[in-house]
Amino acid sequence: MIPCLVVTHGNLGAELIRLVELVLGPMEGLASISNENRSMAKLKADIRKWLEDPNVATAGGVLLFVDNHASSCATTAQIACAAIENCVILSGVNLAMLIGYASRRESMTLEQLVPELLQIGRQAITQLDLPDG
Amino acid sequence: MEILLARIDDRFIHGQVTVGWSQILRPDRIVLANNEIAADPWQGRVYSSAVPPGIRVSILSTSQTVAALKSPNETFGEDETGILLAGNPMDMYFIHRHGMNLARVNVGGMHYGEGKREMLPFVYVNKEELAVFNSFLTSGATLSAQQLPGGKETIIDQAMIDRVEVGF
Repeated sequence: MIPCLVVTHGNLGAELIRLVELVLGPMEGLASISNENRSMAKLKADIRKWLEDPNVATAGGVLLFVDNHASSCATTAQIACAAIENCVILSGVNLAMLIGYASRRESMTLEQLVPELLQIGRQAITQLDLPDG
Repeated sequence: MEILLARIDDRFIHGQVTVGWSQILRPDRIVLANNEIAADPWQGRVYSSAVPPGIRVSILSTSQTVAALKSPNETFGEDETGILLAGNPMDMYFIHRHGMNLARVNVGGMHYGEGKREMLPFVYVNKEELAVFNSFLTSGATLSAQQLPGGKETIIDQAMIDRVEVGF
């Protein structure tokens, strides 16, 4: 199972996980962290702490989501993960991606999962039909 | 280079700077003054990639920043405008006292950490930072605490510094 940390502004990560768990049930190994009221140094330290958790460190691969590229969440996650092997960070997390992760994390390797999640995330961003007129 | 905004922000290049301030001030360049980031090309690339297209970026040590601002034509384009970022008051004061004489310093974000006390909801200071705030005021600079343009501005004055100092 590939552990996952969702790094976001405000309460977004925790809410996304809450909604995933409403659909799929409790998710061990899926956690969130917010940059709210955290300096970059503290956020970096807390991401590192999660990465060093034995259950995460021995998983053979880890996934991080951030909500927005070019943000303090993204830069801090990149810097925190700089020396971590088999670690992937995906930006632009949405509910579809997170449900995609949660339902595939047992059956796929990180290498297989990443392109799949990018596709799922992009497919979820689309203009919806409305009746003419 | 004309400094449009000299900002203390421990998150450096992020949305409040690249969207909030940059969309109003339209700087040609963002100058990030930080010794650790300037010494690590990879971290420098990470921060540079967070700057929107159309804005140039320089990541320099505090000494390099002073040198570049003193002879701007060698490092920066002629008539450029810029946002100057430092991660803490000490780095900004280094630049200030080495000849930049900043009239106004924006305090944009100093988050909670161990040994810090709240001055404002987005400004937490330790003893050293408080002393540097004092030095800024003594030098005649104005300290303006404001996260975003159009947002509430609070001038950090001596009374505010004294109030926090009592808590230490």
